[in-house]
Amino acid sequence: MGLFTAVLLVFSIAIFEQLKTDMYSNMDEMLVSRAEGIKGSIDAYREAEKLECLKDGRPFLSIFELDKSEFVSIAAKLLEEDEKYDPRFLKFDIELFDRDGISIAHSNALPYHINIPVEEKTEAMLGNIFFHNYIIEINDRKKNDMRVFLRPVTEDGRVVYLVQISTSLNNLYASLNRLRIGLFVLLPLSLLAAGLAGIFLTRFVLKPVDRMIKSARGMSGLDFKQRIHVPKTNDELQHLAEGFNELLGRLDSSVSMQKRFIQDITHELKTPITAVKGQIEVSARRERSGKEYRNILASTRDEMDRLGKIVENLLMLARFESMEVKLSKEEVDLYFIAAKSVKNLRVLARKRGLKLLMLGESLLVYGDEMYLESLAVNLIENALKYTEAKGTVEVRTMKKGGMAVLSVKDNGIGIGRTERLHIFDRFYRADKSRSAEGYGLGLSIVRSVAEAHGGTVAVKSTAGKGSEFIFSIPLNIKKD
Amino acid sequence: MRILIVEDEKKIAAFLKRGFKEEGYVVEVAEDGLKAQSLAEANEHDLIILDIMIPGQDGLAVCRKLREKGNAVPIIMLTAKDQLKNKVEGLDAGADDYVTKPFAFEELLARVRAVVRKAGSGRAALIKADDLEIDPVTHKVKRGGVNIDLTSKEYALLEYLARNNGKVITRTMISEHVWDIDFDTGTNIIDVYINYLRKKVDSGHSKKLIQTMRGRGYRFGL
Repeated sequence: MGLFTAVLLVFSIAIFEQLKTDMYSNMDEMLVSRAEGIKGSIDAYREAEKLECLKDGRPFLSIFELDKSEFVSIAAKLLEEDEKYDPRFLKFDIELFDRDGISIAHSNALPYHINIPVEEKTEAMLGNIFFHNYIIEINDRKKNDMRVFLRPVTEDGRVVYLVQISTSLNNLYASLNRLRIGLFVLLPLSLLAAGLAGIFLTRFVLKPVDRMIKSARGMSGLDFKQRIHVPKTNDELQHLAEGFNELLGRLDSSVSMQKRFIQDITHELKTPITAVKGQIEVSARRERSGKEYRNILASTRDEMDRLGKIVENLLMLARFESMEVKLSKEEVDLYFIAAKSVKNLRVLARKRGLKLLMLGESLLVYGDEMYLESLAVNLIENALKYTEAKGTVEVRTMKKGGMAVLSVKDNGIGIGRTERLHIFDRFYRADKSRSAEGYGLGLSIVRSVAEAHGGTVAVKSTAGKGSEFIFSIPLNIKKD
Repeated sequence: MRILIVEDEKKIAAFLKRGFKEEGYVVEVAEDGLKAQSLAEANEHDLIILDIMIPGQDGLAVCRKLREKGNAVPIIMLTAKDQLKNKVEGLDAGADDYVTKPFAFEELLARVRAVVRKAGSGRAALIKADDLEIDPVTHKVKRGGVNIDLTSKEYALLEYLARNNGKVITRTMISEHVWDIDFDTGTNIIDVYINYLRKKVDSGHSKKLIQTMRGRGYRFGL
């Protein structure tokens, strides 16, 4: 800011000085040329006279010999003629002085007379050309600055007459003043005004941005419940704020889902442990019958199985999350894997009163048997969980479009459109209440396994009618 | 002492019920928050053991609502939520204690005693009928100023009868609330214990507090 001002100041001064010099130069040039003009006219006249004299055979007198009065009349006549051509606005005052410093002729340009002090005229008399600024007092209040040019005309080394050209400096001064005001007052002022306006405008425009930044900064840690202020400016700024808030909304629900997941997992893990611990402690307080002890042991075994499965799924999920999964791929039969899973889940199916069918053909694929089994078990268990008693779950393997397909179809409660979008997500849990056992891990693992094998998993469903989960994997891709 | 257990996990509710009954408490169980609230508002319990993650209405809401209505019943929260902020939330909702799962049953018993002891100093203590006095906190029983020694089962039965003064108590109700009897084996253990009680409480007194309602059950009172 300061640098700018300094530069501006220097620049303005430079311009001013240059212009001032130019204006004075111009004026002086005009004075000089006028003077030369006058001299020129006189010379011309003299030349003409000379020729005339020669023609007439009269002697030609030099100026020195010339009668003063004759010279005066010549000069006066010249000035008169000259006046006709003098553009009035320049208002040159022309005066001729003889070699004694006495005025010979005077134009009528200015309404007053300029009388330069003798000492200075003496200068001129000595043959020096010079300029002089001279102040005329018109009356008590008004002054007029004059620029006076004195040109002595010499012949044979002696001054013959003086030409004095003067003009008022007032116009020049006025111009310079205007320039001064313009450069040193108006320019800085308007720059300042423009600057202030600029600052004001940017502040005005930036205020909503500023507010947005403040709200954004104000959001701490993982609290995505807040929203930033949306300026009602109907422009990109508003869109930006709205977009940002949408993003916050998505982050919020994502974080909420994760929190909910952690809560669910905590509960799922702690419940079997609490049940087993409590049962054992209470039964240990007294002597119990053999039957009671057997019941407790059976219950403990069941709970440990439940716990074991949850832990296993959690670990698998954790490994997928941290990219630590190492698949040991080999040629396996997808039908065989599916059939094995079906066999293991028959008990659960029976318990829930469901029919579980294994259909299809042998399918050779390239994959990790353990993980594929996990995938099949998760899909089938899921189907069993969400199908009501007397329903059917069909597990089928088939070839379709060059891919090996494992389909698990049920006629259960179905999955709504919104849920279908999220059902494979890490922490998603479709069942809002906890009446069905389970949590959001199974399907997420299914997707991870599918992707790790270069395959896909998809779901089709009609609410109330049932769902079908389809796992596709390329057939038989050999290691290369 | 009557305890309301609010827990939706069947196995956990089962061992809690059994454990407390064996300690001589009278036990009721609710599996969801709405049932829990209505049972609690009937105001018959000396203590509520309250799980938080239950269907219907979560434990915190049940607790808050009870407190809002001026119910000062001692409440111990029993939950898997073990973070500090959960604990603070639970206690601030009005619980008197907060126990996280998994827990040692012995510890829960001791905390129950502690909470009841604390509450007992303010509560209307003794249950009275004629010149019988029952102190539900200390489990001391007196009739006519004379101490009566009872086993914990005998005490539990007596307290249950006394709290339902005037009502007909069926054997099923006793089985439900006081201790587990397996009717399939055709046992008459309840009748046996009623007799024990009669011998200790009623004999020697003109007013017989324990009456038989033939075909239906028993009744306590005058």
